[in-house]
Amino acid sequence: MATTVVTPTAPIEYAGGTLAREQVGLWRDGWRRLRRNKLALVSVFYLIFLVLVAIISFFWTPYKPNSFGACLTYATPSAAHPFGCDEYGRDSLSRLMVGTQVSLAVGVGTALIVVIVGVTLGLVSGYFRGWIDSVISLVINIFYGIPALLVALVLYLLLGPGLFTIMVAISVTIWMDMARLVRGQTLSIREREFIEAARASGARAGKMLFGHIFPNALGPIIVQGTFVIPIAILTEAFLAFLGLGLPPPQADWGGMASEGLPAIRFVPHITLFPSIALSVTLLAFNFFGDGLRDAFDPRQKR
Amino acid sequence: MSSATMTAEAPLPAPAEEPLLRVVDVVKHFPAGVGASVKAVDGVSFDVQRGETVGLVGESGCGKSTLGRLVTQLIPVTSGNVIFDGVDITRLGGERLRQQRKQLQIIFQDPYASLDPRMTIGDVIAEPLVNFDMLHGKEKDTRVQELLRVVGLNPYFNNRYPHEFSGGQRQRIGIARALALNPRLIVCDEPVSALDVSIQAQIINLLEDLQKEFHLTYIFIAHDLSVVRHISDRVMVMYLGKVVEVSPSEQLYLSQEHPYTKALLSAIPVPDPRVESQRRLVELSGEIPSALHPPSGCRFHTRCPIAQVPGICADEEPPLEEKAPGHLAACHFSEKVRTEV
Amino acid sequence: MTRPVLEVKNLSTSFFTDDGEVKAVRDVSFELYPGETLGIVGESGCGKSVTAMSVLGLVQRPGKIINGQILFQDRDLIKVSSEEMRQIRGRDIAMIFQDPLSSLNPVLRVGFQIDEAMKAHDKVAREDIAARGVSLFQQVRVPDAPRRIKDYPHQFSGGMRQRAMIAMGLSNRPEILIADEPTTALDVTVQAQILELLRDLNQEMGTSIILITHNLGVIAGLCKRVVVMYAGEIVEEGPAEQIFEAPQHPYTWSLLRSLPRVDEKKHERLRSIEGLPPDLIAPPPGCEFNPRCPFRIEKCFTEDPELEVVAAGQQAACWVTMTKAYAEMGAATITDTRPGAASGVRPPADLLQVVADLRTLEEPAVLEKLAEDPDLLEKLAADPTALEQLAEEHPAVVETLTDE
Repeated sequence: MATTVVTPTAPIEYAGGTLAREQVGLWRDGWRRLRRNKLALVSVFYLIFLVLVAIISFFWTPYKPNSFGACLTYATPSAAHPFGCDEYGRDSLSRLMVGTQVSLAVGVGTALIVVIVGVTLGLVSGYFRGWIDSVISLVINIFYGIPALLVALVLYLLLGPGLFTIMVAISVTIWMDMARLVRGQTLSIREREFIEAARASGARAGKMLFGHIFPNALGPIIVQGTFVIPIAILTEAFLAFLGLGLPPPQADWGGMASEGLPAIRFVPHITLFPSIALSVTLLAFNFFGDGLRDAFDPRQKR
Repeated sequence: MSSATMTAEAPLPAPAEEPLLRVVDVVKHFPAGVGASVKAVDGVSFDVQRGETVGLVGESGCGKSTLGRLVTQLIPVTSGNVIFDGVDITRLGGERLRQQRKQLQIIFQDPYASLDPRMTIGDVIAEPLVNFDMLHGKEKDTRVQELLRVVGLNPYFNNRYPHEFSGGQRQRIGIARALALNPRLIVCDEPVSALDVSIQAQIINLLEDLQKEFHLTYIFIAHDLSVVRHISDRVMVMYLGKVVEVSPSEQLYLSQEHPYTKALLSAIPVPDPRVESQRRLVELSGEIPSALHPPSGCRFHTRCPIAQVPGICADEEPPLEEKAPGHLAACHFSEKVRTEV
Repeated sequence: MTRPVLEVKNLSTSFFTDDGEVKAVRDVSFELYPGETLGIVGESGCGKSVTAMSVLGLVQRPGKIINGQILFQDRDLIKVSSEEMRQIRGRDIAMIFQDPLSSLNPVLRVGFQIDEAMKAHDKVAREDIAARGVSLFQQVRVPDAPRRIKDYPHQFSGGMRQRAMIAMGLSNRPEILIADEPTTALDVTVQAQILELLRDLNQEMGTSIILITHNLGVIAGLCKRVVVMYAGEIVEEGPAEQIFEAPQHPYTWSLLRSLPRVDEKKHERLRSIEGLPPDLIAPPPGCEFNPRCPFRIEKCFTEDPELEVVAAGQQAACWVTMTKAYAEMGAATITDTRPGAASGVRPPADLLQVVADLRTLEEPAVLEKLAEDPDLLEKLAADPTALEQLAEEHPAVVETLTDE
């Protein structure tokens, strides 16, 4: 009985067969690859630490950040004041901690504004094309042509100092990259076959834009949004350095660095520490963004 | 918007005999630079009867996929009419055209590109139902699971993502989506070309089963003549934007009325070395001309082994005429095809 | 018997991915004789292309040849240095690919690229190179060769580009030409011309050809001998006429019967091969075709068959083989190729998958599902393995089931 046909043990009920193997989804796969990138991973931990500092500083700082005479003016770092004190005798550590709030708020807030504006305009111009696209593209190019600092200055003067003003002022100067990116993504995604399939299924424009195109452009949008954060933080610090920051006595890193400048030869720590905090934070966001880009880039899949 | 506005020389027959689809002199030109245009589809007419499968075959660039998209109105026609169930859908726009899509579905060639990678397959299949606001909640889920079962997939897969499936399984998902709205006509645009041989047969059988079960009408587009002939009742052969031959599929291999069809058939490799050693290839000279500047007269005359050039073939476009019962061809010398090609 | 020009022995190539080791080629052996046309046929992922890449030393990370020998001109190509391998590629073994456009440099004239290919190896005398380029172009039947050879790749049609690639491949008079799906991207009429060209070149120049394709028709037209691959292994091998006439492996048999043929009478239902090729990270135990095989026996689930001689010059790796299947079951019963269908036993539901899905649900949801589907309930109750698996997650459910 060589060819007794047996009842199968691995039966097939559905002609299409079973799944070959459960595969990892985009997010989990992305996280897996982000974890492989050591610099990005370190950056993630640093950024988590920064957020924690910002939250804690709402409730507690070693000294009151704005109270004069917490210690001697220009005191160099010591056990009681590890980052020293500034020219008014305020504790630099406390002020650095509070400054974290400003940097993060400006960074994240600006990124949100840029994402909302850029994504909306990019989707609309890429999807509808025609005259809408021409108008939006023209506006984008005009904004590229206007000096960023000028716009920020004018807005700052028009709207008056404040956190929101700063975020708007920065957004106005950098939203174009996001709009351009989303427009390009939309142009390429709308040519893909599943969009045609959705049209054949009777999908309306809204469903196309937010149900199909936006989710498929999300990866690059997140990456680009992440790169907006350090740009915004740096621009805010720069504005503050020029005296166009939040009104005193609010602590922010750019302002602190600027305050230390007159005495930098004698007590460099006043400028040094906020500058270091700024640099490390910018680096961390950039590494994190790089890591995200690699993680979301399907071409590197293996 | 009514069929009463139709031209006088094409009066509508009585509704009982009316074909499900009538394509009348459809033209699609894509603009290509200043003053030029690619004549992708250039005056094509045919009928599709209810429950029939019409095959559409030709080499790349012959306009077969464009024609499929014109029939489903995924792209607008340059001129001509597509009359589906008595309604000229080329004159519909916006919401009324959208409503027609319930009846007219399409299955795409690339099972990887035609499913949104960010949607679960349950959502992919439910999308038409959602777009037309047809079923909700539990009813919708039940329908999706039923559709999955119908196309031979495990209904419990509905929360999985497309990338977890193989090409053949994805094509089944695409078919389930096309079936969701209970359409009457499905355009199958190269549905098996991207699949492996052993999977192709599964999908062809599935399409045949579904046709019986749901009384579907198909337009089946492919470049593989053996596949098209297998599934179709009638086969239309296209060359450079024109239909050159329409043949009942049993007759196609036995007798050809157009030299291009004969050349195409002679080029198809058969998985049998004995047949292959007997094969006589009809050599076509030159290459397919550009659809930007198609040749004058008969478009095939530049490559035709029996063309009279200079003469009638270069000067006069042959009409698509009935050469035998149900067998049409557009050739001035179709009687010479059997003996001289 | 003449010595083979190429001998592949026990070749195994794997790709080491994040998900595990993909055993793309497993223990593959074959020979290529002088002047022979050998076809390697199989579906995507069967390892046919990886076999060719291994022969040419083109397997790149994360892929790696993990075992075997590739003997060519008394050398083992797996062991030669990369510089030696570079010399062999193009000079002694040439390869042409599916997509000629991506293999040609778009900014250089085609003729220049062919000349460069000759200059890279000192097989053709310098002063002859220019003339040989034109004559090669004539040989691959490019009309108006002296003029066309000065064109750029984008000025060529797909068929002409493939001709140019073949000309380049033949420029150094290689002993072996490996053609990986050379006609898949081309239209049928052009495909027929290219195949005829390859056939003529093989006869005129005596170059041995390995043709890799998924298209059985193409193999039938060109190849004298055929190797059939499935899931990384050779399942059948032998003279083309025998393989097509009397295939012995159920895979080859089923594949030939799943094709619609243009010369056959309309229109019987196609006999499809159900299911999917296996996952090469965890192939099934025993014969890798067993989940889809209509003729499997007990042994197929546990022991992997080796290639054995089944007829003159023909080998198959199967415990059953089609001759025996026909003899024991009779040709009349072999009509339905669904697995298990030949025995008249329809397989039970894909229970384990269903159970796996049930296990992810909460207990009330499971009970609800079961209440809705009496069919499933019955099948579950009849299958101890499935019950056991369900019990791991929902012991209470199973208890009530068994009580009933």
